[in-house]
Amino acid sequence: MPGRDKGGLTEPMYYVLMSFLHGEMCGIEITDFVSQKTAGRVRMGRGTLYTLLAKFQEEKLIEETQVDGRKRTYRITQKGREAFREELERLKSCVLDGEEELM
Amino acid sequence: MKHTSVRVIPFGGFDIPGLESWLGECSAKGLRFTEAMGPMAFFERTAPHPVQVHLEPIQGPVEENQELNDIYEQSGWQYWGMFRGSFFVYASPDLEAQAYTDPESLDYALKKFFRQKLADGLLLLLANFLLLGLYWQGAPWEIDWQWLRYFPVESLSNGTIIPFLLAALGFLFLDLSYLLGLIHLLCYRKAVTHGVRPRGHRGMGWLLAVGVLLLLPVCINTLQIFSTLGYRPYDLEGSGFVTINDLEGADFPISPWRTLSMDYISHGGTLLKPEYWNFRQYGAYGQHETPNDVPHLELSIARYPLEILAEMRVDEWSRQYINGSGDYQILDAAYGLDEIRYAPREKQIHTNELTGETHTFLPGGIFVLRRGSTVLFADYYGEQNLLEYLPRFAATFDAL
Repeated sequence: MPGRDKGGLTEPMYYVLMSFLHGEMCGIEITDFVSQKTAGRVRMGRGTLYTLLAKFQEEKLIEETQVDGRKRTYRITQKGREAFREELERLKSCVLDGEEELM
Repeated sequence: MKHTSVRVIPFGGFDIPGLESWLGECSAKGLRFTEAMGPMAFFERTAPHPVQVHLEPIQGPVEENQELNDIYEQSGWQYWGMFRGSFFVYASPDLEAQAYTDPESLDYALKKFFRQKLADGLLLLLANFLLLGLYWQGAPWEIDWQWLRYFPVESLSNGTIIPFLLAALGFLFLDLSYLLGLIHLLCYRKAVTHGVRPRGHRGMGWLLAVGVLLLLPVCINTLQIFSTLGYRPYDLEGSGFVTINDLEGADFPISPWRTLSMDYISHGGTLLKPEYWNFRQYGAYGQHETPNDVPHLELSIARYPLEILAEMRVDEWSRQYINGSGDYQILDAAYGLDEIRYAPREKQIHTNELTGETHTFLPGGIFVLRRGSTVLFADYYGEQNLLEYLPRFAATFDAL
């Protein structure tokens, strides 16, 4: 069962969703995570992050857990995990296909 | 000390690339954006700073988002303010800074923003209907054009024609500005998906500015109508108005009906309707009489914004013959009045051809008086010589 209704995830989407696998995260923690994980390769524009959080919430891939002053914290939902897993499988098969062709 | 500067926004409200580049240009000239209200943008005067400006479409509640500001600040963007409840404005000294690094997320943000503005457009449409509906009687198809031609001051000061025309024109500009804004937003979204950075459309902001300028007086007028400011009656006692007892004597009995013998002065006026005073008093009448069989006095006063309008209104009144009134005589100015016109009315006796019964119509007269921009129209039915009471009518002006 697909976790996300429309298409595959873009790279920023993939990494933002991945960040939640570690637990509850707030916006700044997400950007730090993406930056560290990709060693700065994936540039996460602030507008992109803001929009992705709103989009993921709307698609019920993540949910807000608490609002503490200026900080909002989110966590991944079951649907979000499925979407991430599905994307991971897609990427794996992409890599396999590519490797097969190279050999 | 902070110095604030105000500018008319030359770009449409949803023209993101145009607004971003304009706000950037302003900053380079030492004008730092603080807020936008209607067609105006407010700036703080600072040293010139070349910056990259980003407008972030607001996707949630229209209030400052502290967390988002922190996220932006982390990468060097500074929060400047809110743009008309539509965008958060951020600026970065890095001229190559990008707030959106993923076209799909930008496309999503724009799509959501477009839908939001489309829904807001329905509210604008509703405002069109409500405001135009309120002044519907002033619509061109409702106007008596013949009357307007011969009595323009009376027609245009009825409180509906001018508000309707201003509202219709104002909404035309406002709706056009909104519609073009939505079209530009669609074009921008299309350009983003094709990886192109479109240019803004300078000049479109003036549509909104003109629209707001036209609608502002109508809105003030409407608020006055729905508040106590539009109608402000006051007691006859101490008003200084000439009464029927001044003409007929202190013992003259007046009608007990409040609608016929007002114990108050009907007084009002709004921004688009000249200040007016109305008053009437009828004598008490018997069982077999009508109000028209007894002496009575009706006063109608209006103060116009320009003296020339008052002069025109005097001419308009003087073209009206009411219940057998004679020609208007132009009398010499006196008692502080600038114009005095008087039309006497003779007693008339009508005989019913079938029954042979006779009916006597009261004599009297009409005064049309002007002092400055104020015009008084008095219609009197009774046996008294109205001219003798001219000083008393003139004194009514002092009480206004």
